[in-house]
Amino acid sequence: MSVVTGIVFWVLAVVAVAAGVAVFRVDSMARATYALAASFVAVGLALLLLDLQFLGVLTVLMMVMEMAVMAIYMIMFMGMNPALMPMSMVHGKRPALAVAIGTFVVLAAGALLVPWPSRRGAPAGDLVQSLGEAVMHSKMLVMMTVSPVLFTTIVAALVLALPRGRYDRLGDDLNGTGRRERSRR
Amino acid sequence: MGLTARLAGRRAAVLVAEVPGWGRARCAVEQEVRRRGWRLAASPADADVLVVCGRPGARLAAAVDLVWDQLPGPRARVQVLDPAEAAPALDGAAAELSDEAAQRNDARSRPDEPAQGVLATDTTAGVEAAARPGAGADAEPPAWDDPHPGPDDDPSAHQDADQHADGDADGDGDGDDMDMDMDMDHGGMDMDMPMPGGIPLAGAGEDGQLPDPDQLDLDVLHVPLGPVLPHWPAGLLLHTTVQGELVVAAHAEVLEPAGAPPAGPALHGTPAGRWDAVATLLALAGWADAAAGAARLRDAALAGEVPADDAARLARRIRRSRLTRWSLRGVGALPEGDAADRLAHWLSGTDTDTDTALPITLEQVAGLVTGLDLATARLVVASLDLDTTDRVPVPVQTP
Amino acid sequence: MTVTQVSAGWVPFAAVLLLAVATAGAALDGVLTARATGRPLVGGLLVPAAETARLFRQRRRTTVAADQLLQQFGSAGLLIAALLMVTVVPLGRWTVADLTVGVVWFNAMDVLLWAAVWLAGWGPNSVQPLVGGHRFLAQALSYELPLMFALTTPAVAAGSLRLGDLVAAQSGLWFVVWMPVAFLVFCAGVVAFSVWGPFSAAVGSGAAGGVLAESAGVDRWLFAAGRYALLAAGAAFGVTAFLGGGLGPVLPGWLWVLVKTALLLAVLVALRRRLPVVRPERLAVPAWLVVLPLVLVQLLVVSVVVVVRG
Repeated sequence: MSVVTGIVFWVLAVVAVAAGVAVFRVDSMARATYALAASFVAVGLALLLLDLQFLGVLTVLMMVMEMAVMAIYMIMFMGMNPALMPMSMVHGKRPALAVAIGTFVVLAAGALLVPWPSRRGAPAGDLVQSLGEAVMHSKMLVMMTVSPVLFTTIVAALVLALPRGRYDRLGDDLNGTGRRERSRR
Repeated sequence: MGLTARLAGRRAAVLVAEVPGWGRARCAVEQEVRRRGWRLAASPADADVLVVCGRPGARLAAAVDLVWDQLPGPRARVQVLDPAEAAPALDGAAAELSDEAAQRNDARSRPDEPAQGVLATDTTAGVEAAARPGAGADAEPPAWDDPHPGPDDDPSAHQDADQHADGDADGDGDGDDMDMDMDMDHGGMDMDMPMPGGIPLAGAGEDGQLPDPDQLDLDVLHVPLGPVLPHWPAGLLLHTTVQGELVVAAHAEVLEPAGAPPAGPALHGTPAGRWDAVATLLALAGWADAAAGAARLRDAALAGEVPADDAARLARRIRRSRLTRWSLRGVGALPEGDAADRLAHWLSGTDTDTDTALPITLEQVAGLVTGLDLATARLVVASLDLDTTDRVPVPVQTP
Repeated sequence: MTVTQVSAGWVPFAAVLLLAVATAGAALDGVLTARATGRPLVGGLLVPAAETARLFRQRRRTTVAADQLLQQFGSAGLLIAALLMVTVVPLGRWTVADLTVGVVWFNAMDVLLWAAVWLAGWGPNSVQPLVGGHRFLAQALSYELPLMFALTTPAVAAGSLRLGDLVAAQSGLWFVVWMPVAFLVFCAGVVAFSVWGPFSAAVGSGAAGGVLAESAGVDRWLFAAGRYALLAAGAAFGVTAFLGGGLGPVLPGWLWVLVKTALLLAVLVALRRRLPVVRPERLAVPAWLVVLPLVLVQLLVVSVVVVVRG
């Protein structure tokens, strides 16, 4: 591992942990959500160091999109506003702290103390492809057909569950008046 | 005059505050703005020049003052009472903008921190009305019947703000919205509530409102639309209560001018008035080319001569646009038709001088807007082509 | 042609080039506006400089209890995303970052805009910007999936996610010829994530300026410049992925990229004046039920062709 890689790893690691801590220290829901996003992005960028470029960039993509949607839900249910107000993210401070520190210690101990096997041979040319083949073996075709089927099912379920949206049920002013015959706006 | 000032002077943005009855003056100002290569501002933060067309009454003048406070520097303010005054007034504004010494003095006289304004709640809810600087261009003036003028009231409403005073600290549209109730003198306030920036969090809605169609039970926010708002009927103040983005209750009134409007033919009902309505609706619908074309035809109509070919061509182009028709279909549906029908009706009648005003009252406007989201509500109001000149102000309903 | 990665010292040049193309787009928009309002066209060319001067002279403003940190992240986020997007686009034989996953990188950068525009709407603590930010997310849910599949299509045809390989795979036939649906959806996606034209509900006049309702001065300039930069970066990527990149007779590769980008950018900029704004709630049904199946069918066709061919 070269010096540059080492430095980048440590910087990303510190950013990830610090941003994770910041989630519980900041004064606004939106800041908490995006601190979490920053933490995830740092982890995604760390994957790039393992030469897993596709997985790293995809992690960044998914995490930012998820945090953007999660921000809306958090604010909707927690009811905060852009002003900065002291708030608490946990229900009980001491149990939460204990569980968090305990989990971190266990995982870190596992990462550092487990006797990982040493590398046999050279890494494959295309790491992502070999990783995929190692994970999915002969079930690759099944996995690749499952995902479009899942996607189609979701969209079809949406279409079936809401054959006529609220505007068709209640009219354009959502008052229950002004209903129209057409089933689609 | 430095290069920056000269370049900046080519692109001033103008916010027009129209008083009911001075429609022709407003059209003259818009024509002059276009002639100089300037543009119309979308909000006070975007504006360099504030043009007041007409003589506003007390409440409308206070609203205009609040909007003036919200313009970032460098800024200029002019009043136009007659269409012929538009060009000299804008010349004066341009000179004012490039006068750097005066602008620096103006900037120095404004405070650094955004000052807390006095806020308005829905008068129909029976809560004491106080002035609200409002969000963006939605400015509502202080209510003059406030019996408890405490230290937080009127004076703070007019505090100039350098870093701007938008006292409207609104929460998330989907979550807790802030109910603007700044009367700290009232004992009804729970002082244990968190009050970031001195503004309390919003509460649940009242019974007289439309129940949330999505059953989300979001908190409510009072958003007044107007009276100083681009592409909006002059002097119209629409108090809306929103949950999330949907308007669940609305109440409309028209703020009066000071004294009588100028003599001369009204804008509404003439071919120019119809092209004006077309331009407003298309500007809100986002079709910039057609809106600009309609505005040019309006100016030609005001000058007396409409080029028939251009008018016919533009009308045909707008009628043929399926995206516009699809976008406006079902918006503001009345027994006589929806917004797309009204647009087609205006386009077909632009060469005759018949009055196409719909016999619609302000209560009907408020009812039509209820249940829509804010942007659609604005489209609906624009599609109604309201003539606010002759409207009697709706009296405030006592609870 | 093979694409080589240049040293990091060229990064500022790439940024300047992107801003220059963005300025050209802004100038074109000014010219089109001048033509619509009946003004001399030359005045329109000065619009970027004049607007920059105006905004730099303007004082910044803030509102009570605003979250300025997040607002500034939001305003600056557009320009940053555009700069990051364009690092993978090859200019002829050279590119700043020769990632093996260039297509996914572009996609990740346009997802950053979900965060940026929403934060720009959340920060000011005001109704209209908040409504604008949420409307952008509602619109993003509609355009993002079709855009993702439209980005996958040329990658499937070329068998690689690397942009240099995409260009090389078009040496026989440009991708736009046999995947037009993907190209059109991609262009619509670029217009949508640039908050431009028919998809500019987040900053539209229906919401009193939307996300921009409370910003003035440098913040406003960053957001506006970011929009043009995003259009330019998206056009550059579209040229690379669908229009053959630097391939073409006579002229050198980098010049072809610039010419094609300018043409595509001109088309995208002109859309603003020709089409009305589509409201996000109206966009959802056509996007999910019409556009998405069409893009999937296109992807299927391309996949079948690839399998049959080799």
